[in-house]
Formats: sequence, structure tokens, C-alpha cells
Amino acid sequence: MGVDELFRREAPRLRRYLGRLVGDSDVAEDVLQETFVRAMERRGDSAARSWLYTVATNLVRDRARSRERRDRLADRVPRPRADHAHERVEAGELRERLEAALAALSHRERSAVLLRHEGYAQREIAEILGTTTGTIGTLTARALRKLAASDQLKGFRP
Amino acid sequence: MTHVHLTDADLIAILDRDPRGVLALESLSECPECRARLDDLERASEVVGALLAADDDAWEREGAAQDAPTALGQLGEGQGQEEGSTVEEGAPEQGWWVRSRGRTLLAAAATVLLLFVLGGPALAFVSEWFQTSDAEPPAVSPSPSEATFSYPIPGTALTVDFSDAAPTGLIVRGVESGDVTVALVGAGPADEVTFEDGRLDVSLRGATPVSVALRVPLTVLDFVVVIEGEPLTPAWEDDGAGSRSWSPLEGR
Repeated sequence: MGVDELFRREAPRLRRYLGRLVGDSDVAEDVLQETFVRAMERRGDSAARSWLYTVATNLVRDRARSRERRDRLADRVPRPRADHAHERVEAGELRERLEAALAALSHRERSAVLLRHEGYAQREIAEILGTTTGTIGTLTARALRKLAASDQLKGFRP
Repeated sequence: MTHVHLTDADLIAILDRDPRGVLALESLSECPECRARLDDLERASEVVGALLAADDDAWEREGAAQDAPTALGQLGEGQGQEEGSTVEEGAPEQGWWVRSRGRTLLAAAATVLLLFVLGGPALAFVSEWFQTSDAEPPAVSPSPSEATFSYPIPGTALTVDFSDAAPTGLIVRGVESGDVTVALVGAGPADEVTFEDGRLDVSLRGATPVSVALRVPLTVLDFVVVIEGEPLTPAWEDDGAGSRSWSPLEGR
């Protein structure tokens, strides 16, 4: 599979994963671009979907977003995204709450729970994050409990 | 026989129908406590999954607007465009990544030019960048590739923030933060260095010149050191203890 085909197929989900992982759409877009530039440089050997997520996750980790930026999430004004007025409010509020709740997790907890949501098995997540399946299970369980108990998401149901 | 409670990893394996969960399932029936933990975790998983799934729709709408219709479809042509990073008028959605990469390259080139050509102003820039608390700026070696920052002023605090998205300070890519150790060499008891959460803090309170040494395990093969957007290939020394060392910051 060529990189262009890979991009068409994977970019939307990878953008979503990165957006949630970093909590900043501009940074997510930069990382998405850099990931595919690396895939392009890697040429014919870039078909593995998990490779993309490994590179993207490592890029995010390297950037190590500042704590200050995370703290500012709580004050962010939700940006309307949906088409209808009532959906705008709900979509914006949900995104804002999710971002704030995810920001309270560690990078590895966040990566683990988001990769799981993107359909990766624990073994694959372990490969992407460079750790053991057991550790991923622990991180995932901890992240799920924290999210479910977070003030941002408590009582909020889609 | 003493029951060994299931781990969180076991519970996740059960929820995800992972093969590892099959064995754990057998143990589950014996222990109400493990069953209760599994139920709690399942509820948490459902709540989080439902919220993320609801948000997926919004991402899909945004993604459809952002990608349509080409994005990387111009990849082949884009490879030849990266230096100039020009995209024709009337096709703003095509090759967006190329434009961005070009901007990054231009920014990196500008930084290198700043350091090499401007000299004095560049030093002032680096001084501000390092946020020194004294008036006298730290000296910087004429070539970034030498990877040496002289820091001659005892009693000052040096802070290099690794964490911002913009090129800042000294950045190490490709290694786990736990793999990197940063240590002061020749430091007094009052001098401190910390390296955590992507941030290097050096506090020099003693009068003795010191250097800051970066150590990376030899097992880590693929990584780069970046100073202000410029990758470095410094000379590393095997320290004989399974690591290699490099001193990016040296006191005089």
C-alpha cells in the first residue's frame, strides 16, 4: 500500500487519536504531518498501521506538552463543530470535557486507553508503546477508572 | 488453597476477550471480589467508550472537511516541492503537509543562519532563551554541531524547557525519558540538576565550574539531540558502564 493510500485510510482516525492524545488540534495536525512525512521517507516499508501509531505516539511523547498548556484546558471555550445549534452545544461541551479528563492522565495511560478505543488489541498497544501486555492492561484499567470517576465526565452521558 | 486475585491486566484481558483472559475467567468464578472489580471496570469501560464514540462523530465531520478530497494524494509530486514548498493558487487543500514541512525547514534554516551569521545578536537570543537570572549571558560555542554551551556563572539558575512544541533549548528525541540521565559533573552539594517531564533544570549555586553530562544507554541506537531545531551528531564517549556520555553544557 502506498503512502497516499495509507494516508487516505488512516489519517482521519490518526488525527482523532492525536487530537485526543495531545488535546491541541494544531499540535495534533503537526504531528500527523510529521508522521506521514516519515512514512514517505520510509517509502515502501510504511504499510503497517501500527507503525504510524508508534511514530505518532513517540512524536507526541518527544514534544512532551507543557503542563501549563494542559492546565489551560479547563478555561478553554468550547468551539462549535456540529451542524445544528443543539448539537453544537453538546459536541463542544463533550469535547471540552473529554479533553480535560484525558489531560489528567499520564501520557502512557492516555495512549493506552485511546489506542484501545481505536481498536487495537492489548498486545498491539504494548508493541506501539514499547512495553509489556501486562503493563498495558494495568495502564488501561487505571485510565478507565480515572476517566469514569473524573469530575469532568461524571454524570455526563451522550 | 489461597486465591490469588486477578490483576487489572487480567480483567482487561477478560473484557477485551484476549486469549490471556480465558485462564483468568476460570479464576473469576471463585472470587466475588474479583467479579465486583470486573463489573466496575466494565462499567467504566462502557461509559468511557460511549463518550468517546459520541465524540467520534464530531471528529469524523471535521476530518471529512479537512481531508477532502486530496490531502496526501499529491505525495509523489510533493516530494519534489518540499524545498520551495509552493502550492499553486486555487488548490489550497492540496499538499498542505508539504507547505507545513517547508515552513519547518525554513524556520530551521533561519535559526541556523541566526546562530552562524549574526553572532552577537544570536548570543543575546540564546541568553534570553536560557532565561538566566544574571546579567551576563552564557557563552555559546560558535558551531552548534560542537554541542557545547559554556555556562560560566555560578550562582545562577539555568532552565531549559524541553516541553514546548516550538524548538526550545536542548531536546533529545528517540529515547524514553527514563533512559536519559542528566548529571552535574564537578558540582558542589548546592548545585542541582533535574530532568523530568521533558524539562531540564540546572541550578548552579556553588563557585565551582561544572558541566552537565547527558547519558544515554548504548542499547538505544536511534536518537538525536536537537539544539534549537538543529539535529546534532556529537561525539559520544562510552563510559564503560553500558552508557555513553556527552556534555552539552560546560562551565568554565
